Amino acid sequence: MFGGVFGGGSSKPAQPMPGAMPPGQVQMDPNAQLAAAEQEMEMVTDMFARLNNLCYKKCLIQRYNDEELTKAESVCADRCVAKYFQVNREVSDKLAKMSAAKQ
Amino acid sequence: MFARIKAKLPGPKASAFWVGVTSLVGVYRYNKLESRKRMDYYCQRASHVANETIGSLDVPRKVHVYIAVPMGELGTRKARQHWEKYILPVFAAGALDYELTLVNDIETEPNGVERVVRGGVHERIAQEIREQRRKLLEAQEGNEQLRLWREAIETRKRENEARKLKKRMEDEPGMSVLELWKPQEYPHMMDIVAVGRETWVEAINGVSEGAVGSLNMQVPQELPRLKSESARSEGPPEAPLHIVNYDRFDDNSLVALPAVAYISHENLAGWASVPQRIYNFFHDQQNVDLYARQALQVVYESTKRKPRDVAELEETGKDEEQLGGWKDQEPLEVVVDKRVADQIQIYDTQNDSAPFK
Repeated sequence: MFGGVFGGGSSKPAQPMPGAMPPGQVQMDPNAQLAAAEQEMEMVTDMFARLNNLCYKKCLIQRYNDEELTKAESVCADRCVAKYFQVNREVSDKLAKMSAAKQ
Repeated sequence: MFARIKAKLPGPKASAFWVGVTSLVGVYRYNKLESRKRMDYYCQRASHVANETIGSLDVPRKVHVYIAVPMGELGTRKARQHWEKYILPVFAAGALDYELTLVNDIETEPNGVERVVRGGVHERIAQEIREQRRKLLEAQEGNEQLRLWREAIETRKRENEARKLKKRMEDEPGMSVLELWKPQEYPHMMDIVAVGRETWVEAINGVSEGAVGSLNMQVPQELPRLKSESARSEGPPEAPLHIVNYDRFDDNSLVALPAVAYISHENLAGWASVPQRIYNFFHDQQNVDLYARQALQVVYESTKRKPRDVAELEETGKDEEQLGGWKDQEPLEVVVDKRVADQIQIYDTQNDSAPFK
């Protein structure tokens, strides 16, 4: 799920060569890069916690006869996560378009 | 006193009107109640599957539902409503994960008339099975050349994706890495659920073609960018196709085929079906029984079996061809290889063999 953040996964995009800057981008200060990475980590952790709480409340039946999830809970959790990310992506696309239109 | 009461009562025509309206509403409400009860019955039977436990790292069972345009229609709206009303509640109650594909290929002829293009389900299923066969061939020892080809194709795809992502990151500096997340692909071959006779025929034909047809893959080669203005104005020429020859490595053995389920859809199309549709509006219980029972058989894997003979594959769902929507349409025939017919499994949807009655 977090292959893009924590490394690993076969679908990782190719990283740019060190020192090679894409055109039109200003080189970031290492402190600024660190701050951006910390912010990203905080955002991901917050997102994970929210997702966990939300899908737990929606999907898990408060009945603890078995230690394992039932199929219904498992399928519900899969769908809950998939929908969360889809909505996240669509809302951020929408916001990006709105901010681009304002500029 | 009686005269005063009688003066306040409605007249015979008004009484007839109110009795008629109340009866219709009553019949409609009774129908809704009964349909809900019957649907709850099938959902309750399916829920036994949903309450089984599953490991956190295990992937729940998933089926691929195909819906083609029903005969007599120009879109999948009615078939989709049929799916949502009768089949989806049972799948949801049984925690049966599904992937839904609506095949809606319509083309407009030069005279402006719209026409349904058949064969979309057939092509998709055949392609899926062919990919499965190719992956198995690549995994075999001695087929190094195929593995190298696959790697080259995958590398090119990854490079294209990385290029698009890099461009997107330049255009949107605030883009989050969360947008790179993609849902995990189902690791096995999904069983197929065909809604309607036309989808069933295409599904069986697709399984047969995918299982025994040619595996050669056409890969377009990339062309160098056009430099001259005149070449650009003529438009890009078609990329030459390179054919990757999988057939010479193929030993013609059959792969594990997905099981196919048929769920009927008696689509009432045309003016002649209006009385039947009005009747169904007030008496939908028999439809719930008919379709939800079939959906329940798909929820239980124990209802899978081998077809008795090729004729069973050919005759399944043939009753639908008597309906009005099939008039003046090209007939659909099941064409299945004998080896495929011997190996394929179907869900026994026409009988109620699911447990917990």
